[in-house]
Amino acid sequence: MNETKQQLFTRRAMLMMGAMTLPFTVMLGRIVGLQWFAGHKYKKLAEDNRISLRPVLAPRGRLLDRNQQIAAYNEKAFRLLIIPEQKEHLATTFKRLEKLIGLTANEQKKALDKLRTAPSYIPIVVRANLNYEELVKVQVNLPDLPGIDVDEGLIRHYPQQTVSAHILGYVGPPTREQAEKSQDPFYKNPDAQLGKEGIEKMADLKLRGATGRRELEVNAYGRAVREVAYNPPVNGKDIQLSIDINLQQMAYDLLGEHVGSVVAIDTITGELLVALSKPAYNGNEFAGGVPTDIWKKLMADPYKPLLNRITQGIYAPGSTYKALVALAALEEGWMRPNETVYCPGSMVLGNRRFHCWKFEGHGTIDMHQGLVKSCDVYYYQLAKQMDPDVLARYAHMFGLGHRTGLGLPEQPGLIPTREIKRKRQREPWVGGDSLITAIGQGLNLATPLQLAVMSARLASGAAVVPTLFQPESPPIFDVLPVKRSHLEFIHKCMFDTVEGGTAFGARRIGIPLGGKTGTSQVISKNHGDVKSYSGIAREERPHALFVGFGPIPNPRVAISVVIEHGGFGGAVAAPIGTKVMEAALKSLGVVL
Amino acid sequence: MNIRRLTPFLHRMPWHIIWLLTAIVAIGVILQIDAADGHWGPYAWRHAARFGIGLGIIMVILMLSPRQIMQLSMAGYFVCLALLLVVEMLGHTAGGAQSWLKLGFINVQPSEIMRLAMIMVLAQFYHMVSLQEASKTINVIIAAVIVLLPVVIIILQPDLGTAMMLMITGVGVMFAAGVRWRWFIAAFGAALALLPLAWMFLLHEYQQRRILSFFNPESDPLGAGYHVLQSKIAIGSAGFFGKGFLGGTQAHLKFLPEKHTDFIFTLLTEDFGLFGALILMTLLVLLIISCVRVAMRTRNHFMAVTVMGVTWSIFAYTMVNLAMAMGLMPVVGVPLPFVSYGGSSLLTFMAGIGLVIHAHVYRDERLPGLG
Repeated sequence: MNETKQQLFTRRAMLMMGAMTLPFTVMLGRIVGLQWFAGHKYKKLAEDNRISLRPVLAPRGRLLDRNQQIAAYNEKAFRLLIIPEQKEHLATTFKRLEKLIGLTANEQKKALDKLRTAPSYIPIVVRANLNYEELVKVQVNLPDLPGIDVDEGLIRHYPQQTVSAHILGYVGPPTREQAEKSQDPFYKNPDAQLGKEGIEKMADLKLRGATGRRELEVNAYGRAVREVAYNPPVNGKDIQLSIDINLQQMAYDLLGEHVGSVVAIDTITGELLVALSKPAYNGNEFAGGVPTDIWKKLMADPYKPLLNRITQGIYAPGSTYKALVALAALEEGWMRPNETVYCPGSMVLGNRRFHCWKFEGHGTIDMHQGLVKSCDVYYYQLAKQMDPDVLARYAHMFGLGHRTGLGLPEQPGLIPTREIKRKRQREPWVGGDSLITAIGQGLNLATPLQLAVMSARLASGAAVVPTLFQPESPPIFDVLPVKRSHLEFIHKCMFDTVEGGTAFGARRIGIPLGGKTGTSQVISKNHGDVKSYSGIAREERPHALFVGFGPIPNPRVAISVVIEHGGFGGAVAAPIGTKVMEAALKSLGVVL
Repeated sequence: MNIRRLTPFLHRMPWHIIWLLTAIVAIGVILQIDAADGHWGPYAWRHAARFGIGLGIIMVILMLSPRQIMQLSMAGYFVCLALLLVVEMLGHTAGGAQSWLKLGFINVQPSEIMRLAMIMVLAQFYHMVSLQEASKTINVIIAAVIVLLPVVIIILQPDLGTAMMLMITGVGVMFAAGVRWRWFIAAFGAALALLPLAWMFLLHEYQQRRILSFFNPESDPLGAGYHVLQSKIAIGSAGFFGKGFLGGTQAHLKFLPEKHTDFIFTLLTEDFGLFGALILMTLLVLLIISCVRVAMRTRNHFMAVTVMGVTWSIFAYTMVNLAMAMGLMPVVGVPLPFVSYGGSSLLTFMAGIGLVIHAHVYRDERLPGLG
């Protein structure tokens, strides 16, 4: 090697040695920089990576009826799941499921929606309630269904199906907005179910319990490696209801093919023993989210099965209103009990003739007979003395014209006054208005619940407030400012109505019941003196109503029955009312 | 090849280099166990076994005379070139790039072996020419062709990381051999000018994304910036003594990708902290210094330049690997010498050390030529 070559090489080698060692200090400095100046940040990021908080859903509380019978519980159900990280060829998989278990387009769309937002390690429920046959079909074909799995989950179940649907309500998954906006860990659970209607909605927070929390150490794929901490959920509370599901079932059966409602109320505690609206939906079908096809069908049904008639059906109270009018007349002195009226079958006021329901008339009739026979002309005469605004005050005192405060969505109904008439129809109150108001027609509107409350207040003389829950201590209601003797007179009249009046066919042997029938016109068409509505189109038939209470003299149960387009109240509604009352009294142990 | 040839030189064995090598590979084995969650398989025992094979290769190298090595280098270069072409034509696809040649029981990466062959051919070339001739245009072009021929083939595979490292190694050898500064300045200028063209025509989309994500890794934490971000989290959260053997959450919960290969330095730092990193870096620096000292004492130019080339490539690989793990450089698949899992890498680096030891042992032998 020649000398200069050696010298240059040595110089270059020295230079390179320096160039090869110095950068290591830069690297060392970088580590120090990452650890000392950003260490906190990176420690937190490492911890966030490592720990995943998973909500643990508390089992939803059950709904129990007054006799501890189960009205709603969580049933073990087989669920069809997609595990997002294992799915392949989803379109083919869905096609196969379509053939196997009739997976609907809507279910597919919902699953795809969830797949877009959910983390890949959380299984997505495609169908929450596979039946056994479907389960077997899916299980046998699992090898051809990548990413599909079946597991056992809890699903809300209502053993009575449609019977108490409107009162119990149903549950469903939270809306996307709730799931995204709420801070409550409950909503972070993919299986979260919350009350959408009825008691499920009213008592939702109690039923839900408290969501637990699982702190899991997870790997980069989100798969749990180890449990770091577990904060168990607090189970939802069971809710004790006031209703009696056996009575519900009985009322349901008694209604048969009719459309309508039955409301029975404990006149001392205000507990609703029966709250039935028919037709109804089946809450079990809604548990995994409402299927669109079923929803559409329910919406299109002319009998409106989604309508809770108990609190949202509004009807003219018709003759069931007369007991209240009679009581107001006694209180205000518009009529004395023994004052008689002659009923020839109609009455003329101004240039208009007002008919009694009985074409041939009732003849000479006093207040007692006027109520028992439900004579319209008697009330027309009474109306001449009556101040409609004062009557409205009594109506409100007995729970009509405003919401009862039950807790479910309610219609307020309507009790007309001079001012209301002026506002609504831009016309002054005339004599004819008083006449039709006094027989519960005209602008009068009430819900079946309001009618039951009216009946309960007439029975007890106290401001009974309805409730769907069993009160912890018996409530004390305000005594209404009406004379006891007047109430007892009304009780007597209503007793006689059942024993020998318009509700004669409905009397129950050995049980003294009071009642008042109603046949409320739905169109201003006078069918004249009809004995039967069977030949008339359904929509033109009047609603059949019945209110009542028993036993006399110390009533414990009050009732309202409304049957849409049922015809005569006495023939259709009253027998159902008295039968349910009898059963309710027996189950309460009031009568044997 | 003669066994007896070895004995007179045995007292000249650079034991410190062998110990340094052993210590660094041992750290590698420990980290391979760590990477496999405490198991010897599948990485650690293979790594250890390859170390044994590597020692065997060193022994074979020591049995050759400097002259034999020089004679072999040219042949080796052309065999590797041929192998690269074969790989290019029928190689396996690995990590989006073709670079493996499956030879029955073992996968050979010709591009790795090419590094050594290229160093030696260049060294031979500079051994033959005088210092004045070395910087002549024609000779610079010849040297450039020796480097660029394999580089172009490797870029086509496309394995940009390896191609880049080969180029850096070649430049290092030329610098060590005494090519004048102005050539390096000119080449640097040309490279800068060609950069936009290279970006457009040489880089695949995934490579472009990686480089872009380097400048803002937080912008796409689950996409292209994922590797670097997770690596920085692991290093940043480790502390001075680290999270302990098997204790790193980033590596062991699989947030850190490629923890046994390209990101093994991150694994080291997460589990053993700054302390562990310091030890490995110290060992590597000592190895580099030892190698340079060997080069400076070698009396024939061929082996001296070869040793500098080997040392330079060890340094370059280490630096690029560390810079990548710490987020100072875009992610390119470059292993950490002696530590990362991978047969071709470990064996060629050990063969390189074999050349260094050889140079030390035969330091006084002279070779025909101008050296």
